[in-house]
Amino acid sequence: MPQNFKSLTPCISLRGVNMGFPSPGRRRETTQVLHDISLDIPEGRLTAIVGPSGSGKSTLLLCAAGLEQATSGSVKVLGTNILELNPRELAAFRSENIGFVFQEYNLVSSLSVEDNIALPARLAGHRIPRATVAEAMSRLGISKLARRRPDRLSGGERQRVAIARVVANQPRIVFADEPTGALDLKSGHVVLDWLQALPAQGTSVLMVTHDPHAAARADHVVVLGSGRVHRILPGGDAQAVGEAVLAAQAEDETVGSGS
Amino acid sequence: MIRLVLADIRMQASMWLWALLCAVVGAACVAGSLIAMFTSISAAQSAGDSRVVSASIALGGNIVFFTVIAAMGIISSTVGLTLTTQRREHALWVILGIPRHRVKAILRIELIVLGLVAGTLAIAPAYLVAGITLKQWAVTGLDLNNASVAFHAWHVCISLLAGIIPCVLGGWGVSARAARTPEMRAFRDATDSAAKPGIARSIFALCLLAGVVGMWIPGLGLELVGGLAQRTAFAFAGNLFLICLLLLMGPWVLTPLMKLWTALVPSRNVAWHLAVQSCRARAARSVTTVLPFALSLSLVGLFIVMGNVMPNSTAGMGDVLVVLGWVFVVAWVGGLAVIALVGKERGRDSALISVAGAGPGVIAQSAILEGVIYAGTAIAFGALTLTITGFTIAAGARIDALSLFAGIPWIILGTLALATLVTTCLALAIQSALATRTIAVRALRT
Repeated sequence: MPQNFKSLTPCISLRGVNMGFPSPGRRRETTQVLHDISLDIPEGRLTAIVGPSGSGKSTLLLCAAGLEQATSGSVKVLGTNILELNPRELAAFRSENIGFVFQEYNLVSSLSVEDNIALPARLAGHRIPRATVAEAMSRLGISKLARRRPDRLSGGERQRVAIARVVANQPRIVFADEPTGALDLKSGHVVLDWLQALPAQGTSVLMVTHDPHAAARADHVVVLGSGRVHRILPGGDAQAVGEAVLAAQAEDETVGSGS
Repeated sequence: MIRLVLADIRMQASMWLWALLCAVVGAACVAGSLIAMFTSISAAQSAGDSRVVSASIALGGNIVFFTVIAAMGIISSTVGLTLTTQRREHALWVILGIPRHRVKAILRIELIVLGLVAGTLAIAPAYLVAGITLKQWAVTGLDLNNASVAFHAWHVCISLLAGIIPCVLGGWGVSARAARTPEMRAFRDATDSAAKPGIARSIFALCLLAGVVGMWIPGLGLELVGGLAQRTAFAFAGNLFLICLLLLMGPWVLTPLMKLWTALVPSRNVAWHLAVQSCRARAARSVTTVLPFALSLSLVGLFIVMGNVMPNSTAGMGDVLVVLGWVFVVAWVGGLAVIALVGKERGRDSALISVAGAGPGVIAQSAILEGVIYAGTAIAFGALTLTITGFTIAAGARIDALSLFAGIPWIILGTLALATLVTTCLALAIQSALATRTIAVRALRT
């Protein structure tokens, strides 16, 4: 049975998703990272995925985004089974519907800030007006950086550019992988404020984080442990999130020592 | 320290492979040309043929000179790129407490090891180069007095020196810069800043400029005892210095040239935009890629102009290959090595663009267009130097420049330009195809 959020329309539906990687140095063996995950992510909400290191949270996000190919199962994003798309169709689907914010390497190093912001629309075959780019930069407080290249920006500024790209292009879903992981407290808060505000403009956000306080700002929190959904919690309570992560970790260790 | 040198070489072996390939090819071409020259001289001396001795020295000297220049430039570029890609490791050494002077010493020992290995590997190919060179000379009508290449112990020394000297000289400044780079700057993914030329480069550039002026004054403005032939020779030498000067100042010549002509293209295509921005942002990478092709195209232009002006001389492809054949080999291998070396850097941007929603077609197009930009810049540089060369040599020889240009074998030049275009585009297209096999997010994590 899928683990879902009652009465909410899903924008992402995972059914029986398994994911394994070849074990380093042992070609014939695979390390199973995700085990039979069935999960619905609600539309127009901020959903956080938390879990101990190695629990498969980033892999789950990348599978849901179509950046990693799940070994088996189905991944439906906005009603489209992305596992059935060829690379060209998947690229077109991403440029039309999906935005990304990673922990690092968010920006194309050869493009200026404004070019980076306008890139997804250009790749989708249409241009967003300059005024929209300017407004997004202004809202994020990075107007002065418009012509700079990413290597001349601080970590916080780069994350703001990544958020401005999302704000300007208005994708239907944003995947954020540890978006505050490399930031100081203040910059992290700015990024989280914006991610929290995106659902109000109709964008669904799926965020991976290891920080219970960041996760607690989400509407819903999915706790992963050993590649399985351990629990789903409502957002708002950082302590409950922290305890759920510790419980998942303890369970992992019990399973690990028992096997 | 030796353990660190060996461990570093072992760890970075795949990176050093391209520099090693260039060094082996460069050493084989230089050593082979030298072996051919000395073999020819020795045979001519035994036969008492002083005319062939002089011809061998003149021809062999020219070949060795140009091949050494090409090898130095290309090895310096590849070593520079190899060290640049390892800047984070070097910064980490400094952070962990290794003094900067020791880092520099380690890098220079690595260069000597590289040169030694290259020189050793180049021994056998050097004989092949020497054999082909002697055959080429025989075809041009030089009586070689049955000279044939045979093994001598000093050939091994020549090969080792041809490996070590270009590696050490080419990488000397690069290793100093690598050891000087501030630690945290090395850790940042910095694009190229508009650096000023260093002292050594400035001094060398001034010497070359003096050479240009010193050769052009008698070549273009004075009446010489040797007549027009001597004036033309001076004009030729001035142009040779000029090409070396322009290539030495590559970042300040090739980059503006690239920006200028790409700005004139009115395309709004996203792949073109990405290619142009990538070439501009990574200016040093672009210059390094363009340099080998610019070098060979400009030298060919110079030789063809000269062959067109000198009485009883020809300017066919065969003649050009006799003098510049090994330069071509070194330059082309160098150009391809540079493209391969910067592949990882390009791969990360491609991965990001792919994540942002670019299809494989856009990424492949963008890579091919980068090849077009590199080749276009090399061709534009070749055209620029050909124009200057044509006018100055025509002035030296007191002939009409337009009739000189009319006599140039444009088909040969066009074929070379096309070969440059195909080479760069194909190399980048293959690299792009290999990169698309890597899953985008994995490329971003490495």
